[in-house]
Amino acid sequence: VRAPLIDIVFQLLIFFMLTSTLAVQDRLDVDLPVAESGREQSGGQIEVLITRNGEMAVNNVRVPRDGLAEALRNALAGGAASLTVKADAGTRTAEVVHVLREARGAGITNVTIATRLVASP
Amino acid sequence: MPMTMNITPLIDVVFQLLIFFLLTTSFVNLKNFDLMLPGDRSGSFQPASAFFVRVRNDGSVSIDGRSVELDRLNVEIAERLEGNTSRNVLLGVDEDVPIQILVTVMEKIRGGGALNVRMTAPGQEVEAREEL
Repeated sequence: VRAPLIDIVFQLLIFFMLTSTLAVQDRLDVDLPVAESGREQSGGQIEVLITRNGEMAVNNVRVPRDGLAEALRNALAGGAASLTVKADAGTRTAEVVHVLREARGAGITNVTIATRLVASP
Repeated sequence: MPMTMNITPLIDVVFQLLIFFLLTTSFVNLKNFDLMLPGDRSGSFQPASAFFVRVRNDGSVSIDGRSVELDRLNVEIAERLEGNTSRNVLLGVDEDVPIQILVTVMEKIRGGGALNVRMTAPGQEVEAREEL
């Protein structure tokens, strides 16, 4: 009686182990914009979170708006030279541009924006 | 006496693992979108031959001053890029536009065949470009 049950549970376990990408919980609540195209994310990047209200976090550590430049420089010292902006779909463009400016000032040239992929209609 | 193995502890452990992976798995399909920074001098961008796409706070879109529907943006871009070798587009977006619209507009512009899309800084530079 027990053997089929454990077979199924093992199957499920293996399925989730193989498909799971361990979710690192983001410090700020962000609902990403959707897009129909884009390329795979590559690792080793500085992550900047921006919420709808303009709160920011660099590599999952909250920073004040005027502390962004310093946080980016510190993150750069960690080695990564590219940056991903994970901004809420409702974030004002001005906030994203502010991050882009600071990134440029810190010498980061490769900037991408994170999106959630949806199938094209 | 028949041998029976007690597998209850094994099932307990496997269930724990199963629940762990169920809770930590994220199936969200994350993708990245390249941004060319305002004032980026690198690459082969030639502002002189670029189209200027403007997105205003109210969500209206215009190409070189002529307003177009967002749905038709990729078609309009493709028509204008025909016979144009440089395929550059300057993108001026007002400060209060939500970035969902920015992402959609950039997708449409690339869908229309533009190779280089560059954002211009909001504010004076946008106004300056529009004069051209």
